[in-house]
Amino acid sequence: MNQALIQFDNVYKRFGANQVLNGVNLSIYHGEITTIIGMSGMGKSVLLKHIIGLLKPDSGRILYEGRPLYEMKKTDIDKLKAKFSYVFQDTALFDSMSVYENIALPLKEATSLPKGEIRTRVQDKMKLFDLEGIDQKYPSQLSGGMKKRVALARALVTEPEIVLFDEPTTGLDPIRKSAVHSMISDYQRRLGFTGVVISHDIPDIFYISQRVAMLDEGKIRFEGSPEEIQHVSDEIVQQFIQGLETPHDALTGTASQSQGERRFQEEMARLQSQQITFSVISFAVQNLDEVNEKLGHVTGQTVVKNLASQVKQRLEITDTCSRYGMDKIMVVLHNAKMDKARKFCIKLARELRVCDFIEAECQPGLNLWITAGFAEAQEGNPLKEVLANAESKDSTYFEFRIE
Amino acid sequence: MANNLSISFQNDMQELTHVLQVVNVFLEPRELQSKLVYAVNLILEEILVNIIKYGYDDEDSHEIEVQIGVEEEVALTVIDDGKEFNPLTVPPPDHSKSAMDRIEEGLGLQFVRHMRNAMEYRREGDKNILRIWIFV
Repeated sequence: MNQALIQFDNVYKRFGANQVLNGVNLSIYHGEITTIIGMSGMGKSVLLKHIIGLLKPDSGRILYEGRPLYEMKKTDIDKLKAKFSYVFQDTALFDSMSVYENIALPLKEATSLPKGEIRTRVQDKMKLFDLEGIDQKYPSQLSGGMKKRVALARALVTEPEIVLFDEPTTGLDPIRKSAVHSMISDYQRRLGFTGVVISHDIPDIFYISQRVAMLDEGKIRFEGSPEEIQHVSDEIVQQFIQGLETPHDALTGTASQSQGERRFQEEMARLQSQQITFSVISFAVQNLDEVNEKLGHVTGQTVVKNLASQVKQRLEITDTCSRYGMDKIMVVLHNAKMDKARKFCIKLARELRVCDFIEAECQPGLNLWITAGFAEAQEGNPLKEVLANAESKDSTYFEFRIE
Repeated sequence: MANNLSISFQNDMQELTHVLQVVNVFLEPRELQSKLVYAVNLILEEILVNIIKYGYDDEDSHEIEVQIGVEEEVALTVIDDGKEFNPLTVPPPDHSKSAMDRIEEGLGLQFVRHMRNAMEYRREGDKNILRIWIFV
């Protein structure tokens, strides 16, 4: 793997008798979202504050592109700090400043841009985060979700290379939580920043992360991909993840991803012992970026939620619908050959309308483009393979557009 | 009045006009929306021209089958034994590109993609099977 952008090399930090970081080794790579999980009070925020230099290690080194921070000159450190942005847990907006002034602040403080340019950039971010028309309001007049969006707009207004998020969804309802995740992932794709996120939103946060690290008793107990952590044999990691996972997916109310996986295993066992065939369908909204852009991420996530709900309503009691990834819904059809899956998709295409997805009102001119990949499971095939087969455009490929 | 039409013909441009005429004679008495009839004509012509022009490496005669069903929707099926080709994998037009750059997806497919529709492609043995439902 390439050189880490930020590297913790055996970092120790103690507050009084409390040894918070106890030899942390961690690598954060350029252009990736790395999520840090771990129990409360285990030092995740302390770790984050070391990255930005708000705290200094008692011993050990923090390296930036291979260079130890402590060896850098002050001018270099200042230059480096300008590349960072930090989204605090409690949003940390200035109550005496309007929304506009809050978002403009980093540009006024750290750049010498002319007023007109600052206005354009702030308005640009306000549009992106669906905050138009509230420039002159004060934080105390805003809902929790809006405050988060203002904080995100402020963090991204300088187009930073590295963004640190400390529990960015605390206190939000499931749709807004999911919308914040969708925003982070969307802007990471568009702006290509490196993100470090502290989060308890398991498994949702795994959908947008490329790497996950678990901090336990001052050390990194696990470091790897979201997929690896979900299948790791370490009991402490397993217990921690399972303890946070709800039986139902918070956004869609369908089965969680791991429940969906368990259901697949049960059906596979029936196929192997009793030759009862089953099929898998994978649904995805292909033009979700367009919905996010035109109507905001909250609407985007409402579309995903309602797709799950419409699919679920039409299933038989023995079938399972679960969320599988940020914007994907997986269905396991019990006792079903591929033709049944196909007929189910045709029925959906025939019956669904855009107003089944967007609660407020039908959006004139907005089409939703949904793809449905389906495959009959073969004996012994792991879920990953069956899904890859279902989603492959080389096998049966089904898509529909609704108005 | 039969709700289904099935025509088989050879991969010859000369036959194409005839096939489209037969389709229109079948659709006409059903008093469908003109937009729908236009869509069927446009997409059928596009798919068939594509198969005849690019689907075969040899000079032999090949049979192409077209089925049309009209009930709650118009369901169109085209079956051919040409080279494997899934027209649905052609990327949808990118409106940020210039008109010349985005003609790679045919007009018929673009037009139908803007209606309430479903499309399915699969390869079965040596056959391409493309189904398109256009909802009335």
